[in-house]
Formats: sequence, C-alpha cells, structure tokens
Amino acid sequence: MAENTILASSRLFAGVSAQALAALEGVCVQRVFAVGAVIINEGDPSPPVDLIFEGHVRVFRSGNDGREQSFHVLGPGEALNLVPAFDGVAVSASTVTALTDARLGRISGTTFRRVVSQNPELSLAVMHYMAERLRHVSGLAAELALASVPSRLASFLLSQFSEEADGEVRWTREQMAARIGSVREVVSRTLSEFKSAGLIDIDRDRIILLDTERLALLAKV
Amino acid sequence: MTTVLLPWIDKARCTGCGSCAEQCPDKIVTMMDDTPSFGDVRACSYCGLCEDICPTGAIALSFRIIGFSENQ
Repeated sequence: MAENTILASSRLFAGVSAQALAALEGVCVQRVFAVGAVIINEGDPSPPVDLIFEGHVRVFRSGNDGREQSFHVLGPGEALNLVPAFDGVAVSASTVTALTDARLGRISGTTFRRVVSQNPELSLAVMHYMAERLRHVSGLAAELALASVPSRLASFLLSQFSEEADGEVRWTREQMAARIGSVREVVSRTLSEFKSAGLIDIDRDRIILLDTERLALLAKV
Repeated sequence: MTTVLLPWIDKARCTGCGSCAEQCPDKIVTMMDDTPSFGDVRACSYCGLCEDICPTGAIALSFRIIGFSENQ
C-alpha cells in the first residue's frame, strides 16, 4: 500500500485532507523490525516519530526491580513518540518492542514538529489523537488503582479480542501481567479460575473467550 | 499446514540448570551443551510446567486471544 494511502487511513490522520497530508510526503523513512526487536529504548535521546504501517508493537516502562508496565499495544495507523516531539523533553518516555514483524515510517521529531506546526489541519489531528491516548492512559491509571486483578484481566482479554490486536498478537503470561500491573503467577492462577468458571477455555496456545458477557460484567467490578 | 508452537527460551537468561528437562511430563526437553532443546514438537502438550519451574524466567509460552466464534 502506498505511503499516502496508509497515512490517510491511519487513526492519527483520519479525516485529514490529501492536501494537508502532502506536507508529510517524502519525510518518512521506512524501517522494518523483526518480532521481538527493540524499536526504541526508554531514555533514548531525540526519538523519532514512528508511524506504524504494518504489524503490532508494545509500549512499556520498566521499574528498577525489572517489572514492566505496558501502556499500549499499537497496530497499523497508530503513531509512536509524539510526546517527546512536543513536550520539550526530547527523551523517549517508554520502551517499544515489536510484537510481530513490523514496518514503520520514521520521521525525525524536529521535522514532524515543524511540518505539523505549519499546518492547522495536521495540528488538530495530532491534538485529537494525543487526547485519545491521554484518555486511555487515564483509564489505565484508574484501573490499576481501583480494580481487582480478575477485573483487570477480564478487561484486558476483552480489549485484545475486540479492539487492539484482532487476535494476531501473541501474549505471554508475563506480558499480560505487565499489562495489568500484576505478576505472572497471579495471571496464571486467575486464568485457571476463569477456565474453571467457564469464562474462557485454554486450548494449547489459544485462550478462547467463551462468555464475553460475564467477562464484561467482571471487568466493570 | 498447522504451525506447532513451542515454549520460547531466552538463552541469555537460561543458566542451563536442567530443571525443565528433568520435569517435562512429555519428555521432549533434553539438554544439549547446557541449553534446553525441544525434540518431537508434536508431543509438546503446551502444559506450561517448564515456564512455571524455570528459576530464571527464561521460558515463556505465548497465547493468542480469540473469541468463541473464531473457534468454530
């Protein structure tokens, strides 16, 4: 698919005119990452803005004890590293790794800021996108602070099924734990409890959501 | 053709202790040069015991999350 077609159909630039998108023509350099590759490390200076053309990536931070907290799983049409491009602290706030083979369009933070600042339509699109992401992170913070592990795990399973990854992304129990702010052993035990309760089935490498209505009720607790 | 997945081993974290090979109920893990190696992949039941007992967290099983209708 052509670069402009991907940009036009992206979540970041949804609804932006072809004329406005033309300002981004030629400034993207394509990069390909294999599954498991580190795309950017927390603390890297002057991180570029990456637009995801193909594949899925995980955005997370690590604590001093090695535990991780995942913030997002992002797929085609999503963008990475918008915050350091605009907040004046040109340092990556998170680590990003490829959950599948991934193809990205990379733009230097300085160039992205310059192009966007010269175009009101692009500016509004970036503000809209960043507001959505802020809302997601606010929700995650509330969930971590207020919801139980079964509730957080139910919410996570439903989000993977319905929105973020369409079942293409593979998750280890350690990664699930990192996503919901828990540890692998607890995730493992909770999945077994879900299975015993008939909410899910585990068939070799597939977690099958059997009762999404009850999972949704649990997610709201 | 169906791809048979195996537990994933992070060789940088593996100390070669051999616990996984000793306790694998399917008897498919063997130690080769202090590194676990999977034999007949079709015999792996994906039970996760190797992940649970690995003292350094070097083994991980990955899962796809799917809906009931996709399983029909």
